[in-house]
This record gives sequence, structure tokens and C-alpha cells, in this order.
Amino acid sequence: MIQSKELRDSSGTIVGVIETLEDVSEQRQAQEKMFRLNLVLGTIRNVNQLIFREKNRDVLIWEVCNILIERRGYTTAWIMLFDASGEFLSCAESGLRKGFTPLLKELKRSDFPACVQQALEQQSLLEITDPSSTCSGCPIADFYPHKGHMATIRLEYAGVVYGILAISVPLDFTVGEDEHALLEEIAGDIAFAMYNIQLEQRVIKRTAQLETANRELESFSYSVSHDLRTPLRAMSGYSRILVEEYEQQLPKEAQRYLGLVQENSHKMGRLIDDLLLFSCTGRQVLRIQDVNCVEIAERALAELQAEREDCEVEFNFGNSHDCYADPVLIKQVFINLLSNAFKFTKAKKNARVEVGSKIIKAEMVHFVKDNGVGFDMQYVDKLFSVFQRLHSTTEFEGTGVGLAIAHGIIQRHGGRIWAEAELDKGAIFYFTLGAKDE
Amino acid sequence: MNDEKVEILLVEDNPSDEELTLLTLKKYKLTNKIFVVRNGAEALDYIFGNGKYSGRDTNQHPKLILLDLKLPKVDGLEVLRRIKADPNTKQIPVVVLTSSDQESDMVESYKLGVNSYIIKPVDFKQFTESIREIGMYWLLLNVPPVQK
Repeated sequence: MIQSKELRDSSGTIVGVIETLEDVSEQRQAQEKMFRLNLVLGTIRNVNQLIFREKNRDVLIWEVCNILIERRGYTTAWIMLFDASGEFLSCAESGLRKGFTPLLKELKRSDFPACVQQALEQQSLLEITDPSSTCSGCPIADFYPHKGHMATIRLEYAGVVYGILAISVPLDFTVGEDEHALLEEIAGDIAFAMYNIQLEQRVIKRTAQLETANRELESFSYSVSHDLRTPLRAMSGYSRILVEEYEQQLPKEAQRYLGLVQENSHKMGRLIDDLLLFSCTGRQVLRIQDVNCVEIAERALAELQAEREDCEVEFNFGNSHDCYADPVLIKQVFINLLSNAFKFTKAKKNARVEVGSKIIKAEMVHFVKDNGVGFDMQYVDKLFSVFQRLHSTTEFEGTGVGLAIAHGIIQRHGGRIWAEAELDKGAIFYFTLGAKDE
Repeated sequence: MNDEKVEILLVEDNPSDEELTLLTLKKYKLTNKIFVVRNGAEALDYIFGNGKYSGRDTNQHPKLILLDLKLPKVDGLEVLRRIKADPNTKQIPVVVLTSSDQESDMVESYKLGVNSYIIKPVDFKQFTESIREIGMYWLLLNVPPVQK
């Protein structure tokens, strides 16, 4: 800074000038640095806000280019994205001459400008300080309004290169450390945004696939429920008509055979119903909420009055009433476990079933205990698989789906189900439900 | 069959189900004035007097329409929708008689104004019992609106 002061004699005539020279360059540099840092930080903030709200890939990269020009004062900015195989995916620009993006779209990977090729190879920013010589002959050089300082950097996140960012600055613009930091930061941010957008698209695609699979399964079970039942009804119907209308003409043995046809079609009807229930409980949306498991168990018991006969039922929930589960599905678990308990205590004189919960190793465990026929523990692994039965159907009715359904429901709740038993002494089925925060 | 006498219009594509239904209705002497159509399009033609039923007096309504849902050409829900959307036919009692226990079918049927929704039991004894009860209720007990 220069300050001047006149030097006058006593009459007031100027006889000289005092010049004071003060070195303020340090102060000005500091001010400029401050100003530049503000712009740099403002640019990063704008880009981050943009990434946060904009989920459309093409709009996002176009807006980033605009921000770099408007907010940071670059002359040009362009972004090119590649797909997984490294071929052109999308591009956007700001400040370049007309016809630039159509040209980029046409470029094969081998025809990319040398600066792009090189920037893709290196992690750090690639600067071109003298474009007038370096860029001569480059197919994209003519689209730049002037030959200012240029910089290119790859867009990389988590080891994946998503594309390239290239900028040029006005002729009087100095590309310093701040610019390096800014461009590296922004390149990383764009790559991170691309990673997220891809992830989101994958989730959307996967969800759509799952929905299709679900729909297919639904129409499958619809077909099963409709198309399998109809011929079964005909089998059951005609065999019954035969017995009813032609009883006199049919030998006893023939009548017995027809009875078996009916019995088996009845059984197959139950199998179809159980299988549908099994596939249905696997697909149903879980509606998990706070439920009172005593109430649920009571409702399950109410539905089983016919099967209960004179079995004594004791509830032993103590203070552990609350659980976090889907009330409809958890009722189904109680129904299946209780129904089993009633079935396998039927032959016992003092049939007794206990339903309750207790804390085992700091975990709330629900249980259904009976004093029925039990089973041999060496077959415990088969217990929860569909169609697996440990007793013959002549001894105990059943399709072998009930415990598989219970197992499926408990698994979907993030819980466990297991059993302990002793032959002729009884069985006890335990289950836990997943924690509330899972 | 003389059109004026039709008491039940049975819409059923499965010949066994058709026969078993007819046998039951006859066995319990509920009616033998049953007209059978085997797909949804024919059901609509019959009800609205189109196609091969053009000229049928469409003011002569059956006392009851027994409607299967899974039908060739036009499905049962669409037949139901058309019947209940037309002021001339919407008072005809329609009972859906189907193998489908899909909740969506049930909900949709009631939304469209079905008068009853019956799932055909697989067991024939239960099946005949259902048909008998449907026939008893809709043909003998229920009083339909006076026909024009």
C-alpha cells in the first residue's frame, strides 16, 4: 500500500512529497484466501445438499456442473459416467460449446482424450497447465471457449471408478491447493452419490423381482386351492354316490374300497388346506406389535374346544404377559402347539397341558408342555420339517405341516423354536420371539 | 328348457361339479328348473339376452344365480360386476359358489354386492349339505322382489 503526503514550506508552497510504502500483501493474501475458502466450502456444501436431495443420476451430474461454474467461477465443467464394463453411460456439461455432449456420447473408450485416459489411471487430480500445446489435436479441445488451465479427476468410491470430472478455469484463475482439495472432495462426493443411486436401483430391482415371485406364488397357490380341490370333490362325490345309491349291488369289499377312496380324498383335502396355510404364513406381511400373549393363548384355546375334550389346561405366564409379535401368526403357533398337545395326550387318563412363559438365561421363553406320548429325542431334527411325522397316521391323525408352520412363523419373528420330550412321558415345546428392536 | 321356468342359473365350467350340484338339488327335490351355462361370456349373454340368447325375455329373472369364480372367457367376478351394475338385473340374488378361499376374491365379491359367498367343501357330504341349504334358503325361504 502506498500513501502520499505533500511537504510544504511556511508559505504553503509544495516543496516535496512524502511517500510511505507499507507492505500489506500478507494481509490481502489472507483476505483473498479467506474469500476463496468461503467459495470452496460453499461449493462443497451446495454439492452435498444437491446429492442429498437429487436421486436422478442425470439431473445430479448436470447440476454439479452448474454449481462448479456458478458458485466456484470455473469456465467449464463436465462429467462423464461409465457403466460396469467401462463404456459410456451418461454425461453432462456446463460452459462448453454446443455439440459437446453429443460428441462425448459417440466417443469409444479407446478414443477418449489422453487427459481422460491418464486421469482414469491415477488417483490424484491431473492438471493441464498449458492446454494450448498439450491439447492440440484433441477432439474435444475446440469445444472450450478459451485455453485456460484445466484439471481432470476420476470419480472413485470404494475402489470403483464411476466416471470422470473435468473442469477449466478463467485465464487469470490460479489452481492452488484449495482447488485440488475441492475437486478431490467433489469427485469423491459424486462417486459416493453414484454408488448410492446404484444401490437404490438394485434395491428397487430386487424388490420388483421379489414382488413378481410373490405374485407368481400367489397365483400358484390360487391354482392349487381351486384346481386341486375340484377333482377331489368329484372323487369324494362319485364314490359316495356309488355307496349310497348302489349299496345293494355292491359287495362288502367294494364298499370298503369306496370308503377308502373317500377317506383318502378327505385327507388330501386337509393336506391341501395345510399346505396353503403353510405357504400363506410364509408370505404374509408381518404386523408386529405389542401383544398380550396370555390373551392370544386363550383365544387359541377357545378355537380348539372340540379337540381339547377333557384335557386339563393350566396357564402359567406369571408376570410375562407382553410380547412383541404378529398377533394372528402367533395365535397360529399356539393353535398348532396346543392342537398337537391335545392330540398326543388323547390316550392319557389325566391329560394335562401347561401353557406359559419363563425366563431362561435372561431370555423370555414361551412353552407348551404336555404329558402325552412324547417322542424319541433322536428324531428331534425331523420335527419341524414339512411333511415329517414321528407317528403313524393310524395312531395320530395329521399332515405333518403344523410344526413346520409354527417353525416358519417363529423364524420370521427372529425367534427360535425347539422341543424336548421323553417317550410316554410327554413333550415340551419352547419358543422365543425376536427382540423388539430387531 | 323353457326360459320362463328357470329358477336357478348355474354358472359352472366343471362338469363334475355341475353334475354333483344338479344331483343334490334334485335329490332334495329343491328344483329341477336349472339352466346351466359353462363360461362367463355365456352367462352374460343369457342374463342380458345377447348372442344366442337374444330374444329371451330378460325381465324373467331366475330366483338365484349360482356363480363359480374361475370361469373360461369372462371370470365370475366380472359377471358379478355386470349383473350388479345393471339396474334391471342387480336385484337377482347371486351366490358365489367357488373352490377359492382367497380372501381377495371374497372381499371383492362382497364389494360388488354378492348376496352370499360359499366355499365348496371338498368333502361331498359337506358339499351336498351346503347345496341343500343354499337351495332351501334361496328357493323356498327367501322372498324375491315381484317381477315386472
